[in-house]
Amino acid sequence: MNAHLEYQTSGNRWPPVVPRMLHEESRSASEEKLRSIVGGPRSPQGSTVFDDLEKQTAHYAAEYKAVLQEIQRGFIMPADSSVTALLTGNRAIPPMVLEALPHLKTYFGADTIFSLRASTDGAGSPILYAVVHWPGKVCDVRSALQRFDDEWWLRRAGQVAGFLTFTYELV
Amino acid sequence: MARAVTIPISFVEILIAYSRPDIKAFNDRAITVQSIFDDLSPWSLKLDDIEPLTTGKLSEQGFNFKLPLKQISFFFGPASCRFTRDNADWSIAEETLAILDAGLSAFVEVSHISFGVRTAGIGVHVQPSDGAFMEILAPFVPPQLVSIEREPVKTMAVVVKWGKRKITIDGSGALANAVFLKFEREFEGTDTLEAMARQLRLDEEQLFQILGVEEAQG
Repeated sequence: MNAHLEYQTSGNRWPPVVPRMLHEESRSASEEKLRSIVGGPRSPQGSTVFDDLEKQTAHYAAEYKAVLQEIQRGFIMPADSSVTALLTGNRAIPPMVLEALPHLKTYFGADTIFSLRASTDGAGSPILYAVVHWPGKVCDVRSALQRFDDEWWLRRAGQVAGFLTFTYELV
Repeated sequence: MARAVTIPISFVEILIAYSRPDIKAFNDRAITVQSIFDDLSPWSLKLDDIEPLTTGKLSEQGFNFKLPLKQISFFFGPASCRFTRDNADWSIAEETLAILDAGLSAFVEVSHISFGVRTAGIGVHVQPSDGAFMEILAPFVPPQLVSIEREPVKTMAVVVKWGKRKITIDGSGALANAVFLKFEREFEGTDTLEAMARQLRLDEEQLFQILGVEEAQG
């Protein structure tokens, strides 16, 4: 919490690093990991940008839909389309949310409920809150969140450049 | 014993004022922009990473070059230029200086502008591994103010300014449970970039010692 009115950043808003695209020759480890979660066929190795473009686009859309369904299985989503729209507009976030889920269960418990909420910051930029619904004591959830941040999240936070925040609500 | 901290967010910014504003150099922008573009190309600068700024006051207009992969922005205006790098740390200082030097050299080569005062600053969001951020800030809260309310102080800020130096210590507005520290210095146009970096590093070490923190390794 700041007390002094001064800019505390460089003023640049760098877009999240978007994973490599399907048409690229080699596949990154994270993409392979994602595929192991959501399934689906491999796109042809060594294909160029224009080879099978329609097929690749359709495959990409199907893969993204599967990722969204996987997220909906792990998180409570609002009834409106705010979260889906935010995820669709910031394609680097869904893989990160999905990757976070097992770690959230590790730090906060397998039976804990998690939800997603879309909002905007003071500058109007979108921000996604992953909320832990905590039935216990506030000191316990703060301690768990601290460990989650220190041991897992802070090393990855730069990949989504402030678009994703983990927080909690007492229930 | 110093408290272990991490620095999840940091940035460096360098503002260089010209000896005098030079509007002439911006009349023939294409040559200036081409020269800077050529010299920054080794760092994956693309044409669409150049943003012409044509609104606002004349001093705010110019060209902004962005290197997204390096999280660097480089603004050239008619009266000053400004360089920033996000997530900068000392391990990449050499590369940062090389990019800064390349951009400045290209600009000077075609515009023949001479530089005046340079202001360099570093901002870091320091997050303690254990304990609350207010434990770091508490020694800087004036005791006369602490006693006027029963409840504990939630946050505080202190800004100290000298003729050529400024230090800001505040709670972080960007991270939970973190302290924001920014230290800036004015350098002469004759100071080398390396000398500026060395001085800022000494300043950081001094301030970390005063705050009682040290960056956790690994």
